[in-house]
Amino acid sequence: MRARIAVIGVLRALSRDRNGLIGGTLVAILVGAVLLSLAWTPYDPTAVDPNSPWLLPFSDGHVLGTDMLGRDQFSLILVGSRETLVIALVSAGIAAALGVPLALAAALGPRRFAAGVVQLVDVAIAFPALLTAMILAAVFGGSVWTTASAIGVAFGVHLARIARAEIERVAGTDYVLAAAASGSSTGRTIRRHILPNIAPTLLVQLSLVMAVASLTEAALSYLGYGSPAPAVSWGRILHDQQPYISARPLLVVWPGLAVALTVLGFNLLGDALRDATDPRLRHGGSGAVAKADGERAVRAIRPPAAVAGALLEITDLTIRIAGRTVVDGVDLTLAPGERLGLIGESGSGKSLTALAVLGLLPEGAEATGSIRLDGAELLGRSERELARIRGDRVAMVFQEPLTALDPTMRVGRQIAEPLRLHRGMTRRRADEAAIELAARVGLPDPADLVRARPHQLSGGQRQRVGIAIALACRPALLIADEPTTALDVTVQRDILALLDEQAREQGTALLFITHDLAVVSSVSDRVAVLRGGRTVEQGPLETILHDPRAPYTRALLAAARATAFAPIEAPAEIPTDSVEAAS
Amino acid sequence: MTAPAVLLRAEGLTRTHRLPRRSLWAPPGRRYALRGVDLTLAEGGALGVVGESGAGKSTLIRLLLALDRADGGTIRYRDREVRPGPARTLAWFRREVQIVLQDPMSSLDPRARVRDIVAEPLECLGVAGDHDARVDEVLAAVGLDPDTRDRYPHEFSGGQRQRVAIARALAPDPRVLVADEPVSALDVSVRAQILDLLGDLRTRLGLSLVLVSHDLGVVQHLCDEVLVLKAGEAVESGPTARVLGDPSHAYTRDLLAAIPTLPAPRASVV
Repeated sequence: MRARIAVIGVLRALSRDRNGLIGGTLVAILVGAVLLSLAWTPYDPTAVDPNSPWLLPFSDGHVLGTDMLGRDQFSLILVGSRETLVIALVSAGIAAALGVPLALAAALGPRRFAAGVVQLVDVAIAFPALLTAMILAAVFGGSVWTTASAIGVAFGVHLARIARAEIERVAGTDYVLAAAASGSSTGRTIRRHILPNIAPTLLVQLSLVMAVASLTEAALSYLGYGSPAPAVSWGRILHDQQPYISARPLLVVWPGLAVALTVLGFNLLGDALRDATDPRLRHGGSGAVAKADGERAVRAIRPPAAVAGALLEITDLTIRIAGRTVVDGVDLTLAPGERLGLIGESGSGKSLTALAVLGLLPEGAEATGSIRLDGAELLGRSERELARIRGDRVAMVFQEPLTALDPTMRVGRQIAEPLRLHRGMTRRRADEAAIELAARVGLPDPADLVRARPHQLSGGQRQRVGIAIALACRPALLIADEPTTALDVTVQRDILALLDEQAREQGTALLFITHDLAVVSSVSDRVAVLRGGRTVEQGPLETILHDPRAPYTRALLAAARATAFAPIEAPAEIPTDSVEAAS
Repeated sequence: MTAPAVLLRAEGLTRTHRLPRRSLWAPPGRRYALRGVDLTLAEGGALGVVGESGAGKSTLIRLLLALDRADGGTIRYRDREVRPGPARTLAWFRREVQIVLQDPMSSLDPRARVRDIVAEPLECLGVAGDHDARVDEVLAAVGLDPDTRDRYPHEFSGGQRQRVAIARALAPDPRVLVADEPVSALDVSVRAQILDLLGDLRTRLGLSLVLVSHDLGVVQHLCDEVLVLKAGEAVESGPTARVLGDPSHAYTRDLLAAIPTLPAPRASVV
C-alpha cells in the first residue's frame, strides 16, 4: 500500500511540473497509439491501392493522405509506433540490466576485480553503437532485437560508468556508514539506500537511452538495416518516401515529427521524473517542522543616522532571494580602525550582509537600503566600479582556505595578484612584495614558500596566505567570514592573533563574522547580534557580554557558556565525581 | 562500592594506510592513522576522545564499531572479541553498541522517512516486537513528536535531525552510544540542548558513552574520562578533572591554552 501512495505522490508532483506534463502527455500519446494500433487502424496499413496514390491530407477519409502505393499514412504511423516503443523499452531494459550490475561490481567489488570491470567497460565504450547495430543487422538480419540489443549494450556500458561514480558517491555518505552500524548487510544497503539514491541519475540516463533508441531505430531503418519489408516503422516510412521527397515533402514530415516528438517526450519525462521522485523537491523544501518562532523584530537600538567619519555605514539593508526576505533592515556602522564582531547562527544573514558590502551577492539576490563606504554609496554601483574597490579598499578572508585559493597557481602569484591589479606593479616588483607579505603573516621560509601550491601547505598556512592576499593593498576594511571555523583550535589561536595584530598595525577596520561568541570576544571592540536577518542588538563588547538587553543575546550567551570549556583552577583538589554533576 | 564492569576494551589498536609507491622496487611506505591505542569504557561511564584533525579520531570510531579492519590490536565487548565481518555475525554487537554521527544532514538518508530511518536497526538486527511502537517510543524519548514519523529529514531543523539520529541509535536499546562530534555541526543554541539530551539519556537509560570531539568544552560537560590523541597516538588519558585540570603532556597543555574563552558573567549579572 505504501508503494501505491508513493506512486500517487510522484504522479501528483509530475502533474504540477510543466515539463512533466508535456513529456508525460507525449509519452502517453505514444503508448496510446501503440494500443490503438493493436485494436484498430483506419485502413489496413499494408493494403496497396493503385487507384489512390499520393492523396492529400483529409481527402477521401485519409487524415494524413496516402503514399505512392496508396497506403494510408495515418495507419502506417500508428502501426510504426509499436516498433519505436518496443525498441525504446527493450534497449532501456538491456542497458539497465547490464549497466547497474556492472556499476555495482566496479564500485563495491574487491579492488582487483573492480579494476578489471572498469577496464572492460572502458574497452566496450570504444565501440560505436550504430556500427555495432549495423554489423549485427548484417549478420543476423535486421530486426527489432538486433537494433535494441546493440543500443542496449552500447548504452549499458555508458550507464555503468555514470552509475559507478554515483554509487561511489552514495557509498561514501554518512547514512550508508550509519546503516552499516545499524547492522545492515551489503545487499540490504544497496537495495534500501544506494539504489534509491542513484535512481534519479538512472532515470535521466534511461530516458536518454529511450530517446536515442527511437532515433537510432529511425536512422537504421532509413539506412536499410532495420526490420525487413513487411514490418512497418517510422524509419522505414522515411526510407520509402525518400525518393519522392522533393515532390511530396509532407510525407516525410509526419514520420519525422513522430520521431522528434517521441524523443522530446522521453527527455522531458525523464527530467521531470528525477525531480518528482526527490522528496526534498516534492515537499517544496520548506524549513523545520516546528521552527522556534522568533520574537518579533527587536529593531530597538538604532545607531544615530549619520555617524561623522564612519568608514562603513549600512542602513536598512534588506536582501531578498526568490521573494524571500533573508536580511531585513540591518543597520551597522564601522569607524576607521574599529573591530566589529558580527555574530549569528545559521540563517541569520550574517554572511549575506558581508557579501553585500563587496557586491558579491549570489545570483538572483536583490539588495535595497544603503551601504556607504567613506560616505559613497556602494549599492547599485557597476561591477567594474566594485571590482576596483574589492581587494583594495575592502578585502575579504574566507572560511575555507583550501577552496578560496586557486589550486593550480603558486601562492606567491596569488598574493601578488591584487598588487598587480590595483597598484599596477610589475610582475617582478609584485613577486618581491609577495615575499615580504608572506613574511609578515608569519609564513616560514617565505622566499621558498611563495613557489608552493596551496595543496602543499597546511590548513593554517593556507589561511595565512588568504590573509596575506587580503592585506596586500592595505585595505581600510577587512571582512573575515568565519576565518577560523575550519581550523584546529591551536591554529585558530594563531590566526586570530595574526588578524588582530595586522589590523591594529595597519589601522585596518575589521568586520569579523562568526557564530562563536568566545572567538568574537577576542577580536572585537563592538558586537552586533543578528537573528533571522535582523539586528537584534549591537553595542560595545563589554555590554553585550555582561549586560545584554535582548532576550536572544542572553539565551545565546547562556547556551555558549553552558557548553564552553571552563578552565579548571585548582585541579588537585577536585574529586573525579564532581564532574558528573555537570551533566 | 565495587568497580563497575568493563564494557568495551581496546588494546593496541593500529591502523595504517599505504602511501603511493616512490619506486617500483622499494616497498610502498605506510602511514599510521592510529598506533597502539588502548582504551577502556566502564559500564555507565563516559569516555571523551579529544584531538585535532588528523589525530585519528574517525579511524578510532570506525575500528571501535567494527566498520573497518585494524592492522593490529583487539577489541573486546564484555570479554567477547569483536571482529569486522558479515553483518549477521556482528548483530549481537550492534544491538549493544550504536553510533551517532556528526552531521545529521548527511547521516540520514534523504529519501527515507523518519519511521524507516529509526526502524532500520530494529529491522536489520532482527529485534523482536512491534517496531512501530518502538519507533514512537524512542522518538518521544529524544523529545520529538511521534507524529513526525512520516516526514523526511529535510523537513527538520539541524537539532531535530540530530534527535532523529539519536533515536535511531537508541532503537535497539543499546548499552553503549558512540557519538562522533555529535554537536559540532549544530548552532550554539541547539548544541546545549543536544548535550543535555545525551547526558539525560545516559542517566535515564544507564547508557555508557564514547564521545569523540575536538571541543574540550563538550567533553568536559559530558565525560568523566578523557583520552587525548595526537597524530594517531594516545598522549594522555585519565579522569577528566585531572587531564583537563592538571595535564601532564605538553600537547594537552597547548590544546587547553588555545581554547578561546568567553569571559565569565560578572557577579552582578544574574
